[in-house]
Amino acid sequence: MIAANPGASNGQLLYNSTYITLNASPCARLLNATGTIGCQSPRNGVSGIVYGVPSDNDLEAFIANPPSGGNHALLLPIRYFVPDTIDRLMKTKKVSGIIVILSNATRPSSYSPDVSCPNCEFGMYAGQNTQTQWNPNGNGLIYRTYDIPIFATSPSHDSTYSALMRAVESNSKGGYRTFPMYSVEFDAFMYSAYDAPTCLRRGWCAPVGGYSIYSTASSAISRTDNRPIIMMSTGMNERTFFHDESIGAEAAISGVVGLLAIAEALSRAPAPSTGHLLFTFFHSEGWGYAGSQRFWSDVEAGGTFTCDVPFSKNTPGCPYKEAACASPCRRDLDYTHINPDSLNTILELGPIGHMNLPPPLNTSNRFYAHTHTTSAPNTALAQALNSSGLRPLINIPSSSQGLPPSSAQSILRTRPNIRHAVLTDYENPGDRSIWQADLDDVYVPMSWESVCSIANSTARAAWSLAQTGGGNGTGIPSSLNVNCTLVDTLMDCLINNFSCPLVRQFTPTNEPVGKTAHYSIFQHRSMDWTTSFVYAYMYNLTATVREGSCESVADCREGQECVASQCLWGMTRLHDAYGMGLKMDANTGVFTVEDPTKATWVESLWDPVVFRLFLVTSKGMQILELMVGLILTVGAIGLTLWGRKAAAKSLKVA
Amino acid sequence: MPLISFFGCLFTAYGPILSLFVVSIGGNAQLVILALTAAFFWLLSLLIISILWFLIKPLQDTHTATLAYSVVIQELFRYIFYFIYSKAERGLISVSARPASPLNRSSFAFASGIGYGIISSATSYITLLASTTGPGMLISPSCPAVSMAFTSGLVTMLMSLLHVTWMLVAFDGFGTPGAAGYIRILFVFASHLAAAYATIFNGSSIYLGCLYSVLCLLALLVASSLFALKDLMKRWK
Repeated sequence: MIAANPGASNGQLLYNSTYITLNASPCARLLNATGTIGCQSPRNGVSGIVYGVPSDNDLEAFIANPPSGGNHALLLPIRYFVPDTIDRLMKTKKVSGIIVILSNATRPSSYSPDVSCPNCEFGMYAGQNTQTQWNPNGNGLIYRTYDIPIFATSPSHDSTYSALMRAVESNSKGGYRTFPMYSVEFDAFMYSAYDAPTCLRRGWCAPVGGYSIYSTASSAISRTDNRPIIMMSTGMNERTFFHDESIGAEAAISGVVGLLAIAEALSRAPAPSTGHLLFTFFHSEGWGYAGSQRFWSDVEAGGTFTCDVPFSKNTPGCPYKEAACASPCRRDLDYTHINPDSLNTILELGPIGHMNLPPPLNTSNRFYAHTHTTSAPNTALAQALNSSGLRPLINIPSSSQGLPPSSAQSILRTRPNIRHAVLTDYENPGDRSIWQADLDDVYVPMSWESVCSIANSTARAAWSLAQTGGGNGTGIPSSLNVNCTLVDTLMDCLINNFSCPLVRQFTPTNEPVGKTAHYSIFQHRSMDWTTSFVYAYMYNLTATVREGSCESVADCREGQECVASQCLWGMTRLHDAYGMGLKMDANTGVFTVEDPTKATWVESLWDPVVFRLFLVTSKGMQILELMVGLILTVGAIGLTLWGRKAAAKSLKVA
Repeated sequence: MPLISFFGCLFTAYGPILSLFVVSIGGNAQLVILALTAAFFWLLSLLIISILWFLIKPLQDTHTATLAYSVVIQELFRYIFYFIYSKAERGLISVSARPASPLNRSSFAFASGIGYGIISSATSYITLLASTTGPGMLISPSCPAVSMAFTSGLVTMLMSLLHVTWMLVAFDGFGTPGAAGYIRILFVFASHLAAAYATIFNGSSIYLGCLYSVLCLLALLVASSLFALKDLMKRWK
């Protein structure tokens, strides 16, 4: 009997007993100036019988001899999600959709859906014939176009994963022959078509991007103060195949946590005498260095910035309450206070979690300071890092191979002589087993000790470099130490539990929080969870004015922010991050492709995804039902006609 | 559910009663009006049943209790309908095509039964049928190879035909004084109650329950058809 459910209408009850709604992490359709990548599902959805291929034999059996009748929704462990297998599966023409299982138990030791030279066409080595292939494991699946829906699930989606597993068990018990069988429907129709210019013109796409964050405690920083700038940077998210699946634990969060911990340690130390310490968190770096290239090109043009139309009121192209300029739309012009000529040092935190070497930390955990060239300043920088840290852990890679994909390239592209170090836990191409992968999640064994130790070295080195006559490790305050407990807490919060007390303190919300480090689209005033937390946290660390308590920003003075219930003012700002090839019309807010040779990634618009599980009967049974219905109807007509005739003849009734 | 199943269920549930309506009384305005009037009375009974169901909160999920009072109320309205019909019977017969025919009352009962059958099957099944336009199917818990929509379609079809025979028997019962009349009224009430409870098998998890439902209803249909036919023959002679 149907369970009691007062309040639910009959139809709703019926729906709930027929369909199980599943959580979906779809692969979306993305477009650039020349074409499309990613997935598409037919309008109004497509369904298929749930079919599991847990082993090589099952997979080969399906490809060699696909079950007749109906299309299938394949549950594919991620190790089979490789180009060759996908091609062979497509050839069977019996696959209507794929559900990739990102299960910890079935994960391959190395996997990357990115290309072997990620982001290389947008970096400082673009156009060179022999670029270092940093990701030889990359299978390039991200860059392919699929005409079927591909969704992901993992055991962390408890109910979805277990429902699908039960469906596979039930279907396979009958050898995929005994009806009724479980079927799923995918509906993730993508409105986009052709390429980014067409799609943007039609209004069916939005740029991939978000907001980068820059922050400094030197709120009086100016172009003319001639003080050196020590920049510490990291990327905030990674590029993934599926939309809402990845955390980017190693690729992004390890660096973000490291940089937050550095900022926290430096906020407790006395301000260094000469230099400015600048923290930058770049958004959407995986998409042609969208965050860092836009930030740096704006900073470089900062000296000559002219405002065509001063801001007077909120417009579609500049939908803010207060802004510094309406055309081009600028929220603030504080980035123009950063003098690019004063940029003295770049310290970038890449992946630093040491995922392949789980704790405890030992001498085999080395870090590498990658540089464009092993020039004297760069070598000296690596030495400074070593001398400032507690343990000599930082090495310069043994072979000269240039910089790995990193935000620093966006700056060095125009100023290759700036002293720099890109700190990572890998040395050579291929050392990183997962690159921009959806597997970069909570199951990646990472060491907070590793993050803490490199953060400590970086914080101390940065302070020393900003001190008069510094850089040699002398004079660093003994109190300047990264709080390893904080590193542990932050990693737990940003990877496992975004609703933890620390995050709640800075991003008060009652909404359930999803995964945070996947890519997003650029939308005025809209920030993803990681961005809003990092913004508030950094604002609090670097604020120079602290006033009364507040509940919202409306309680504070103009220009101030309400962070953790206190009115603050400081130099922490958001900066637009979207591909350099895109341009926004300041009047309409509409994006166009300005330069197809630069990054122009946009994402198609789509409606909320429908992903549901249900039972279907066999085609034979359906035809039987139709036959029964037709026979009953035709029989009834015949009988009644006969009865009427008989009655008219013998009974003389009406 | 795919389109094939949708039409299968549609024809199964409504094919027979609608063809009865169209072929046998569709050409006769008087009978059509009578059928519509009967349908209206059934709707009134449904209104009362719904109000009761809404008010008696503790019994809302006890289907056995709901079935009992809804059968009582439907039968009560059958009588009220008959009572009003009887006031107009003379006039109806005088304007009918063959005022002298001894079977006028039976044909009126037949038309009223079709009205009762159409409206009850429409209201009880159309939600389930409408929900079947999606890709998924609610599988019958008692007959796991068949969809709930189809087994319920069969049940709906049988119930609609039962209403026709019950109306025939009930009219004879109401119009016959003494024990013979009461026997007929009691038969209609008892078989309606039995049919209502037989439908419970369909939604139960008893193995092959849907088959029991269909077989019970079929047996009741045969029994009440024979009963109605017997009276018809008697009158004809």
